[in-house]
Amino acid sequence: MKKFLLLLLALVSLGLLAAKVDLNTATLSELKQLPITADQAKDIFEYREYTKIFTSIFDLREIPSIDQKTLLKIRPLVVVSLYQETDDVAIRRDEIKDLIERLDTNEGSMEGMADVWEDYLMTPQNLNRMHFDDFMSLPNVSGVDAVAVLKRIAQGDTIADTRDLRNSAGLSHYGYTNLRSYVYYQEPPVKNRLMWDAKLSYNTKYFEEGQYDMLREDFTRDYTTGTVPQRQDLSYWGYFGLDEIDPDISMKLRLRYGNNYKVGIMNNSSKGEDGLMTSNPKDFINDSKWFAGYENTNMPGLNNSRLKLYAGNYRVTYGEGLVMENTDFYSARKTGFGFSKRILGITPDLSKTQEFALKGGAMEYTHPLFGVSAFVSQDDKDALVYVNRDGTPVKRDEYGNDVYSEADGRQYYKEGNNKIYTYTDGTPVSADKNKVFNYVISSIRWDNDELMEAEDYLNKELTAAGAYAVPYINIAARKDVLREKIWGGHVQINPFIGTKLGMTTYTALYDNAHIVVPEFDEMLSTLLRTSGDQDKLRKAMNGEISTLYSTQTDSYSRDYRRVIGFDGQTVIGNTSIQGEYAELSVLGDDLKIGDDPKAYLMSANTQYENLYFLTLLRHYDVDFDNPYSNSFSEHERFDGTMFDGNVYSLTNSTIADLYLNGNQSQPEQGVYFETRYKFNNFFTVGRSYLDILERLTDHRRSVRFQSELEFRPLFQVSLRARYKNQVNRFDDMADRGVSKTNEYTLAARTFLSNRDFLELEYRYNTVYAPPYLSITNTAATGNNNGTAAQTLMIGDYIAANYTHNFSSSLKLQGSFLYWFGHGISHWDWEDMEIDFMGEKGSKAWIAITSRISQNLYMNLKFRNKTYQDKEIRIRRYNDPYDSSLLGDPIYLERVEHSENTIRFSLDYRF
Amino acid sequence: MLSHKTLLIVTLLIVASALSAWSVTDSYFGNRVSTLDARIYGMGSAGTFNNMGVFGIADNPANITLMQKNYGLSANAFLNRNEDNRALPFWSQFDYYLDDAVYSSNLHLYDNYAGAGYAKHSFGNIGIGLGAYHKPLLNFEADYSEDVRNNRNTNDDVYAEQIALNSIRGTGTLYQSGLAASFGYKLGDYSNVNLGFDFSMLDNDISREKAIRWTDFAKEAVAPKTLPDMTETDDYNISGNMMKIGVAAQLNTRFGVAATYIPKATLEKEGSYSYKRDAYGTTAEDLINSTIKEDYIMPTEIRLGFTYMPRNVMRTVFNMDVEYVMYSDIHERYDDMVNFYAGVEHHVVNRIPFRLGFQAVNNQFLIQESAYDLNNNLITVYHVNKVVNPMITAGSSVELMRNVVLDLGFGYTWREYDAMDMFGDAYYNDKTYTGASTNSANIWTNPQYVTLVTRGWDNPDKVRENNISLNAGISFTW
Repeated sequence: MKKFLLLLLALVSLGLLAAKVDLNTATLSELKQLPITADQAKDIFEYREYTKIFTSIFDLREIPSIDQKTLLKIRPLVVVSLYQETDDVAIRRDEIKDLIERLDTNEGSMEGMADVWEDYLMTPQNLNRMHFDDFMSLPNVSGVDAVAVLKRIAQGDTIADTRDLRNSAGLSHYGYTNLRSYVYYQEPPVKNRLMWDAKLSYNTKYFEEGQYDMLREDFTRDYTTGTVPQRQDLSYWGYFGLDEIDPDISMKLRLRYGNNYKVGIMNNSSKGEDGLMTSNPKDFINDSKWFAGYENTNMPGLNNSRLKLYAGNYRVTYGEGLVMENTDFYSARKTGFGFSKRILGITPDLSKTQEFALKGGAMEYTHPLFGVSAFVSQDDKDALVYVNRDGTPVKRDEYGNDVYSEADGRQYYKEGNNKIYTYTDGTPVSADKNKVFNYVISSIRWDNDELMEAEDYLNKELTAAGAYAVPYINIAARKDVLREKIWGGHVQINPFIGTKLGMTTYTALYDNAHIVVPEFDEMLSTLLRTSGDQDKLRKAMNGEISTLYSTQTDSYSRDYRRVIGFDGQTVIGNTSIQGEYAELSVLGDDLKIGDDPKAYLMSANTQYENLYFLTLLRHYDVDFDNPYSNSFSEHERFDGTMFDGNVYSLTNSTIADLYLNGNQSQPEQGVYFETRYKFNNFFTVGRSYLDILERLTDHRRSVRFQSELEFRPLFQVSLRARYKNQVNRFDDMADRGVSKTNEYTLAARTFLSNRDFLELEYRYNTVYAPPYLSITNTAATGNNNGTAAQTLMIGDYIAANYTHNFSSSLKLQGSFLYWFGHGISHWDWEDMEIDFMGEKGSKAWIAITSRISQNLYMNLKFRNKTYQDKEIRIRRYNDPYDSSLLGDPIYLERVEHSENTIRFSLDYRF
Repeated sequence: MLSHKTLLIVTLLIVASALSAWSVTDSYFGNRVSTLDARIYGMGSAGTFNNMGVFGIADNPANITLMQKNYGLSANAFLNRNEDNRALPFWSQFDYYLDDAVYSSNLHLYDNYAGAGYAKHSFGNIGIGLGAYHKPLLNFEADYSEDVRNNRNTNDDVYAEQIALNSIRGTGTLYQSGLAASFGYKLGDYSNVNLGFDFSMLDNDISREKAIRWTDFAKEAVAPKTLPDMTETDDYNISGNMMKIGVAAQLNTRFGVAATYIPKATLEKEGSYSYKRDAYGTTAEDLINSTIKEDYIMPTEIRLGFTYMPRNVMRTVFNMDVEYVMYSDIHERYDDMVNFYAGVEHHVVNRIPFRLGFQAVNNQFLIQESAYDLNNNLITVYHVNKVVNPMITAGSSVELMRNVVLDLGFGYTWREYDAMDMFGDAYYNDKTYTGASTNSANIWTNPQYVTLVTRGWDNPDKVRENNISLNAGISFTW
């Protein structure tokens, strides 16, 4: 009986409980049954629907219309059930939201790699099945870390969870903290399902200073003899009306089912280019990047193998990037360690790069003991082409003759003033290949027709202006003019854990072009507009231009470029050693080592718990011209050549794009050391490096050193001091000496609650430098020389940076910065972009990140930058008796620019 | 506390009523005023779906039955500070294009006012609403002035003398007075469909005067009545009516969609044009008078909107609109354009909203020029300048008392483009009027260094306009 009563009581209680209204599940009409007004019921419903799920009945008091009396009245009538998010994707996204935001902020410099890492964060890899290269492709995970984990697994151990991972002997703290977010152990956090990411961004950016100068260069200038025409429309800038705001707009859509099936498309139109509304569908698709891929890490019947198959646009990276790493962007000091990583193998490519994009098919099959991958691509590349006066490409025959066409279609080449219509064997002269100078990443990818119309307009003025060495634009960019077919591959064996040996090769076939680079003697007359500039620019480092790869020279004629290389890596104790050797096949045997232009790189990274030490040795021959190489270097190719800062001398100013947007390393050799050491919780020597290098074209020797000391007396306060020193020494040039740069930075940072952040920073620079060769004349009587113009320049800047989080949904970042350069430029890393600051000015920017919902992000940034243009001091020779100058230098200053930038992006991830 | 708010409002109204002027660039459209709903203005003007702001009824008539409240009244002030800088390209001695030297800078404020009200009533699941509004659509006000100074050396701390004053004055705003009706059908507590219709009338006088006035300094430097002043005037009236059809549907607690369609409207433009250049020397006065009677076309517009109300601890609304404007209705030289609007509202603390928005609106300026064809016949050449206006907005609200809210929306936009010099330099060539072989050294103190030729498109002005705007509205809803 007693038991029955208890049971009855329990049932009654359950019944009473069941009759209560659950605030977290009740419908609006159910809430209206409570003894409250309809408006109050609506307020409760909308609080749950639009603000948050109830965690306690007392949350009701956060609703303005619910007072204490009402709360007490309905308290016996309502319950709050426990709410748990059941959507595994939503849970996972919440776990990694900070890392995703961090990757998003770096996307500008990562060229689409952030997408791959974001996918790994959302759908991690099974740690117990990962291969060595999988670890090596993750940010800040080293070979030593990878071996520590793989050895445990090879011994039959299974890593069960994060804590278990932490206990792996030899795994560094940083390796562990970065690795743990990219892996799972037993059950994946997200089951296979369809996921997608749609992104729209709008950016009203401005050109960099060098691009401005290039595009604004006037085509009728003849300052040596003639009048100054001063017409804006005789520059590309004026002709194309580039004063107007023309935003960069990009759209990206990625879909994937788990980690198995992936598709994506991306279109980007930059300032000056056709946008979505003005391009036709064919051009839109042509200018878009897309991919479709299949990946499987659990192949049936094949033990721990993985397969990747991609069609469309893909990225390929092997070894140290000497043979193949396809990207348009140059990145200085890319060590392949820490956060300066490469993602090895085949990955989908939706980056904004276009020129060295690969489009076709690619496969990769990897096993713990070996790997093989292969790729084929066919894509039409932009190139600088030799053009006739009417803008058509110059044709070349197989014998190295420039071939022209008569109106009746007959082709001929010239011997002196004679037209030759037939070869000695009697066959008619014939040529169907374009004469190409080089690949080019144009600042603006104009359509060929538009560009030819512009050149035609500018050429008329060139003729009118007087006698030039080249009386018309003889080299010009053409979109999609170089048909490039590529095949290549990589094989690799992994005999021991942490040890691998690989071989990479690719061959680029040119169906419709001969790449022809003028010999050193012909180069100036080919590239310079006036013969008056030849003497000056003979001194520039033009060996880098004349040693570019030609498919047609005095020695041979072919239609391909081939690069072959070997790479390897091994881990010994806590040291990881890796390297790559590559040769560009020119005159030697493809497989014979040492008979062709070569490049090699070797590095060793030793790590301890609170210290790492990296040593890197590299050498790139001057004539190792591999456009798909993106390995470590201090400078980009063409630095210091006539393409750098001498746009006014070139037959076509846009040839300078070769330097301004160049992606290749400078031919150099040197040794680089890098370290970071944490003494204790108070003192850390931040990333510090020393690079000793020699530029191989002129044997300029340089030393670059940077070190940073951080003092953190409290967790919330950090004081940093950084010093940078660079010395460039021109030992072989009598008229150039030494340039020395010193940079001192002090920063005080506070880390406030709620991840808020405030920093004050001061930087002071001194540069002692010789002038550019191009603005000095030979040291003859009455002329100046380098020594006379040695200059000490002093510049500094002060900045305040801040971040405020209103909540996890709304973040505000910003910065104020004032600088005075005196000829020195500064670089500033903003939230997503790097900014170049010349001369003096100030800027302020604010960026607001709104996390509208778990899936939808909006980012809005506004920046104003107001600055003065360069001060120009022109000494007309060093003649104190020049009556026109009355002893004063010509002095121009105070040209003010004011630039507004808006960046807006919407990102929907589902 | 109320006194501070009152003070703020009074200050806004005083500032607004004291000043007026605005951009001179677009003589066809003047300056188009976007939404008058201050809340939506702070959210990038993305308000095709708007269930809160009274002025939402003017953006989409279907919003009336969508409203959360049954009755609403609103009064709004819209202020715009326009800065117009015109610059010449500036060259170094190596003929290296450095940048632009600003030769004319005008900065003014302009103001407009508007009012709206609506009422809706439900009969079961069926709702009916009526609304009315009066608001500015196109503002033609302008106040531009430009000094013409001679080329006296200024290195002795002496200003170059002013020889002429150029000006453009514009008055008149085309107001839109509309009646809107809406029908709604309720499908559930948070789902409904609404259909609205709007009919509006437009009528106002517009005038624009462009003038060149020689200064006394210049006139006294040469013989009397030698230098002619110039005045060019457009006086006209634009009148007619427009229609708008709108739909809005709340799909569930999270999403709402809306669309509007404005068919091409042909308004009447009637008035007169006159050009007068004074007599000089033996040359008679040049006087042209003509009448204006032409169609004034407002293009077809289609606008799609979307709203998203997620669960967010900072109660959040996200709105996005895309607008397609068929400018080709006006002239074949125009391209149809797409405009984009997006904004978000977060409740930061104590339910104070923080609004943030972005919009990218495209303008097109149609320029008519005279030219000669291959047979040397005088023809009219049309040139269209496409100019994008990117804009950021922000805003907030203050509840002044129960049911009375002051909404504030701020916007910043700028535009950069090339434009023809509005006053050709050849006019200031006094040789034309004096008959002398050289310019007067009294007017042009260094006449040998001045070449007075009207610049063409080969060397245009670089124009940079900045606009900072405030949209303030008081609304009473119940």
